[in-house]
Amino acid sequence: MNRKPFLLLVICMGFLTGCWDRVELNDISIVTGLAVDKGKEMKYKLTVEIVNASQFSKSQMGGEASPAITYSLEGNSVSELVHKMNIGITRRLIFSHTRVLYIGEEVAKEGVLEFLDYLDRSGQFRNDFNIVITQGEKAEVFTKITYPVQKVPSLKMHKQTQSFIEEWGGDPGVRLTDFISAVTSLGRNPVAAAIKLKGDPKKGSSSENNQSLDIESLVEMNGMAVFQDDKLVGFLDLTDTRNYYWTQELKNTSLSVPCAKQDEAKSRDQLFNDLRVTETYTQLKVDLKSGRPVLKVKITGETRIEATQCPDDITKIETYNKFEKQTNEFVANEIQKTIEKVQEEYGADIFGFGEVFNRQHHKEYKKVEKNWDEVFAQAEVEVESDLHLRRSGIRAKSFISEIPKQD
Amino acid sequence: MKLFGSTFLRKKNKNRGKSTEEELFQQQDITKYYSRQVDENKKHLGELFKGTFDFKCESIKIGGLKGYITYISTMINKNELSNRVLQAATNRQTDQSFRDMVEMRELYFPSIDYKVSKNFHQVVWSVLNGEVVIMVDGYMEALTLDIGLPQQRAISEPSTQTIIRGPKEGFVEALPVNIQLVRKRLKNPRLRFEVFQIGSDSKTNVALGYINDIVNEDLLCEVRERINKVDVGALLDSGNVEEFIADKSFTPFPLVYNTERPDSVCGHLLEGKMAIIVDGSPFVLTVPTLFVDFFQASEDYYQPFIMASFVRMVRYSSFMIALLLPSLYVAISTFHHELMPTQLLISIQAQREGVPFPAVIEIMIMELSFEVLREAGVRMPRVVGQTVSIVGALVIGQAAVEAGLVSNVLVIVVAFTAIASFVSPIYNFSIATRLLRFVVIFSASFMGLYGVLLFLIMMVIHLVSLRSFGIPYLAPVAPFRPKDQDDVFIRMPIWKNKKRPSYLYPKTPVRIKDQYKPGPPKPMGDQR
Repeated sequence: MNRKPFLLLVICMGFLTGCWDRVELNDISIVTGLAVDKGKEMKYKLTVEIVNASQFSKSQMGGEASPAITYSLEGNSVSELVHKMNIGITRRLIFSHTRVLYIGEEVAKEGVLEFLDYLDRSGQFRNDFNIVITQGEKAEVFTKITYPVQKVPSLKMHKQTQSFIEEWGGDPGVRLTDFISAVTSLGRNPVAAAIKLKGDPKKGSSSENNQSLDIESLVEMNGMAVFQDDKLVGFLDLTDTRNYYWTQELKNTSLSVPCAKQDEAKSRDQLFNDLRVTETYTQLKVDLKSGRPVLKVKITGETRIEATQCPDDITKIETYNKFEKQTNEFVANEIQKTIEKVQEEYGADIFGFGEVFNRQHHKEYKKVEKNWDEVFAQAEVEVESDLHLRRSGIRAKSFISEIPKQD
Repeated sequence: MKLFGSTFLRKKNKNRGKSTEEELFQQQDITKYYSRQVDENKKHLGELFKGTFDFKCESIKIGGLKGYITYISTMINKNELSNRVLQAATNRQTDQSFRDMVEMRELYFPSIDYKVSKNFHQVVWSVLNGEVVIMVDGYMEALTLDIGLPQQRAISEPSTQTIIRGPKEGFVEALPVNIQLVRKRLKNPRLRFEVFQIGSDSKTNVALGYINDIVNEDLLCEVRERINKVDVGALLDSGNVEEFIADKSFTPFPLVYNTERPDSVCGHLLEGKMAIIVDGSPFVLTVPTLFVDFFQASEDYYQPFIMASFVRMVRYSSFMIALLLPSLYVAISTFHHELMPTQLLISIQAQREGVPFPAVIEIMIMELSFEVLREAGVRMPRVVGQTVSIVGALVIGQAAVEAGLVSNVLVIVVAFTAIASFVSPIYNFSIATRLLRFVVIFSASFMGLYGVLLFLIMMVIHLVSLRSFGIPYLAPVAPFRPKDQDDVFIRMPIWKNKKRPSYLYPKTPVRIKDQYKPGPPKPMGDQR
């Protein structure tokens, strides 16, 4: 066999394809956060947050340089701005490590599709960054608030979101593809996390912020933003966000369930059971009741007592049954309230009931597809909670029940 | 069973080796025939060995007849000579006559290994071989006595294939000792050793060992034929034979296995392979050789099989690490930044801050300096060993990083690669990885992971094209043989390993017939 042509081909394969996307680590800057605001004159103002890597080297530590640099430019499209950043920045930017996309409230109200297309299309961005809507301040401010542990603001934000979702669930956990598929689906409206600033934005932007124990300015999770199609219509607070996430993919959370029958008394005077919910799973269903859709949520899962303030004797099975019943009523009520609140205030189906309805009753859904959000807003809601109380930590009887009564 | 097509059918002139011998003697103008006149023989020998101080040809009287005893004094054991040969020959009270050399030996040297030489060149041969030749006037033949060689290097632990548990004997330079080391482990009458003399100048003895009722006949013929074909001036090490008998020279992968360990040779013989022992070399070759052989240490069979299997996996993965780690570093750090976790990327970038070279130059500098260090470490006199290691560790490692010429993480990569490359139990297999590593770094430097993948594809294509004595180099894996998998990536317990590898087509494919599984005896009365 004559191998020469084959060898020639192989050599060509190397020299004709090589090197075009080669870039040394010394020639790049890692972008960890992007912030989109409304521009003063032009459509957008884009802020990039770049890691100053030399600050993270053990040997070159000691410099007072900042852990990250931000730079803003105004322009009419995000993609153009991304490539124009070298007006002020020395190195080529790489976006594959973008962790957070901050979207200013003003921009979100006008619609986000126009620049999300670039992020979706370019291939430079990964899908695993958080989309957050900034409340109160402009988005660019949030790329400048340092934190002592994760010194890069966006890395802090990303880590915080992840931990929060796993521990309590007060974040909708929205990724770019989730957002886009929610926008394109008629049976679902998109959501995004919301954050706010606590403290003075000016003080937060210098690394001195990291030197005091009581951090002067801090980015906090603040529930979530509700969209109607691609436009921001309002916000939900943290508890509602948790309840929303419970209908989606929540795994763990914590509850404080009043032991006594809920009455008009103020919550600070009541006694509570502190429960940890684990391995919970939620099923959404839409049933038809005399031609009208009924939204059904069924929650299953396990709980354990983390602490109890109640005097009941938890060595007895009756107490367990009682607590379980209280918990299920409490949870069902909570989630019911959240869904009803969304129905009343925004009339936007962020839960994806439309998609469920479509799967279950395709023909009926097709009839109402066009105005599903209106149908959703008027639909009846039924929440069923089936949480089981399994364990009570490493104590059986609480020492509270053993304290001798004073009177 | 016809395995390898026409290569086995080619019949070769088996006397080729001998005919070259004769030619050689003719060139040197030596009489071919041994003369009845013993003085004539002495004269010829004297001419041939003229100016050789250690050549001795002393007169002796045996059975009342005139004779000569001929040897090279540096090649023989002098004590043995005087105690066993000279005393026996001279202390006889009554001279007994004898019909021929065999009878003479029976009378005078009954305890000594002997040969009868009928040709003059055989006599020369024996003398050169360190044997004592007794020529007696009036006989058409000479008696050759093998009284053993002078002091040899003692059998010691193998220096290249060390072991924690298992026999610590290693081969030495002397062929008989090496054969003995194998024989005493396999007391099987069918264990055979054929001897070839190779090398027109060196006349080195090469022994081909095999177990007759295991080894495949066709394979044996092929090996014999290839050894016969070896045509070289002097055979100084088994490495020379290796180059001649390998199926292909243009490959970085060794196609012949070599070992210093007798137990490892025995293991291979029992699988149906053949051993080639070259006089003067402590490295014994075994053929046919497979890729997977280089990942099996003999210790695997002496340690618990779970541990051995784990260690084997470690070996395979460190082969990949030694081959690919530097190139993956180059590829990912210059092409695919998105593949690294953010924190890792930041810390690598922080370390590379201020390094003036591109990653590929950086890694080439380090890899080359490591190669230099390694070569220096092997060649230099032991006495200066410390100097090199200190200079190497400090200058290359620490100072280069502190001077900002290379980054810390790169030193880790190079060091880990180097350590991983030492994991292979057979040294010359790691040469392949050393060499290919540079190719793949180069390929990765301008094509990224695509280049690495391209390289791997080419390497696998090359590997499957290789044959060792007609057996596919990747044998139990490609072509895949499910039944032979019990000793490849994992080692099954010895009591499970009942079959010899089928890719060697052994005559008796089964090692042990009866099924036995260790365990406590069954309780009495349990009829199951």
